[in-house]
Amino acid sequence: MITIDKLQKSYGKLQVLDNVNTSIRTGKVTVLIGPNGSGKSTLIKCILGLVKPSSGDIKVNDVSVSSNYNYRKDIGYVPQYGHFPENLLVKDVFNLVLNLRNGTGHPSYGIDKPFDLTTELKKKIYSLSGGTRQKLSANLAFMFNPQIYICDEPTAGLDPIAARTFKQYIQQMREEDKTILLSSHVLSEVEHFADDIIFICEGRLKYNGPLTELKIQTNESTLEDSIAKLME
Amino acid sequence: MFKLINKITFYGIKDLLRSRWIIVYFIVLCMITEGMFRFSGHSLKALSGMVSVTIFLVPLISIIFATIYYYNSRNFIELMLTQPISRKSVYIGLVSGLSFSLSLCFIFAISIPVLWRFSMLSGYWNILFLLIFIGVMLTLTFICLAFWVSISNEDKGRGLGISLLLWLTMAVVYDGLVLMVVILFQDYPLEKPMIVLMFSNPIDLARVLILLKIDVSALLGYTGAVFKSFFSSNFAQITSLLSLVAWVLFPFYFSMKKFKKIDF
Ligand SMILES: Nc1ncnc2c1ncn2[C@@H]1O[C@H](COP(=O)(O)OP(=O)(O)OP(=O)(O)O)[C@@H](O)[C@H]1O
Ligand SMILES: [Mg+2]
Repeated sequence: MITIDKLQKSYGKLQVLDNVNTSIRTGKVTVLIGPNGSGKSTLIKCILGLVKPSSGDIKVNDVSVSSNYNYRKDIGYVPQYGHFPENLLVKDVFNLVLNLRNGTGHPSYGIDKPFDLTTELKKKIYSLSGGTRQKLSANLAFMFNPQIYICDEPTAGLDPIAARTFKQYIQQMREEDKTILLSSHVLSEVEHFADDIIFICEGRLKYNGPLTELKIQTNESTLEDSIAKLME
Repeated sequence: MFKLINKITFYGIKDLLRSRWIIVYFIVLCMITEGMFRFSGHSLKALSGMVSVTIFLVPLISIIFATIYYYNSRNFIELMLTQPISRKSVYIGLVSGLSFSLSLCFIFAISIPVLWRFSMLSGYWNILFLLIFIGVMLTLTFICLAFWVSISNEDKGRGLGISLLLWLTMAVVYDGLVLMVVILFQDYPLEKPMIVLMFSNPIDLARVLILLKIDVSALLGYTGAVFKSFFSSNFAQITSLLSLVAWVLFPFYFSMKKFKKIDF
């Protein structure tokens, strides 16, 4: 369970997150949606500890993230833009992360799950295509079989087959009762596995609750139509 | 935590040794030292030549190198911070990797030409050790200052500019200002203010400390006299050595605090 309590974040004068209160349920898929620049990535980075909140508190399994870093061993994170040392080979990145994590996990473990990267291992990071980078991020997130998955537009750069593979993995993780937080702009593709929806607009929560309830509340049959109605 | 810091440190050293620039730094420094000994023909003269290099070149290279290194490591940093690793470990690992590499580079570049002429140096060993100590301290100070600048500025160009300005101020402009103070206030007793001014700039401190051992006449006139009487006590010498160490620790600590707060 991830609980977010009165979270505020501003960059200088720009208020990016404004009093965000929510919780992400264990064993469920929570989909984070909102227009460009609404604060989705910022919220996710706050949970990861990459961005420091201006005020408020975030707890992952009852541990406050501000005073701790160990909670990240339970989290697999797929960033919107993966950052890797550009001069390393793909296989070096796997080894590096493995090494930093004290080698808990098998070296070949991350290389074919969810994507088969065996043919890319000897390529330098800077020479990777955008989609392959995204795949590398995904594989690193899945490598340690974490309890929590946090994915920021994970399918954005992927080809349709790869995107499908990824969604199948998410579905599988859901069946294994993992906690999943996913941001996406493609509402139709997240609809069939979303349990909860967080809809954020200009840093404020516009809706926060189960998908089924959202549909009832807006009296619409699809997520897309429900969101459109909320935006009116 | 220490194991992790070591890993990051070693990773950094491995990464740095692959970069051409650190090799270039080593070779250039080594050649300068060799040249000083070869052409001055006198150990003491060579050593005072090395003082200028240590006082000007070493801080400049350290601050530029460390600034560029930080910005180039940002991806690596971000990757580490998504893992169960504390910011403190990441910071200490990065700084120590860079510190080891640049310090060893300096120590070897100075020592190798000296070892050829082992006998020539008899009597000057204490100066050589002081020189190496000062060089290493300045290296560390300017690495930490570089980190402070680059952590505070997201933009690489801006960070590099500020680092250069900082070096220019401390290495060149500061002296001019001190001289102005001396001229403007020559009718007043200046001993204490001068000593305070000197302690507030590690480059000045380092220079005075070593020139007093080598060539007092280089510290001209009034200031020279002030420092000479001040540094004649053991207490003052130890205080200044400790101050050089403090000039490493404070920037190190403040950059770390900053590093813990910034957004990635
Ligand atoms: N480092 C930063 N400095 C200043 N402003 C920032 C920074 N990072 C993000 N912002 C601003 O914060 C706001 C929210 O950005 P964020 O990346 O969280 O949006 P998002 O919802 O993920 O958008 P997208 O759907 O385009 O990915 C934007 O206005 C953005 O310009
Ligand atoms: Mg985003």
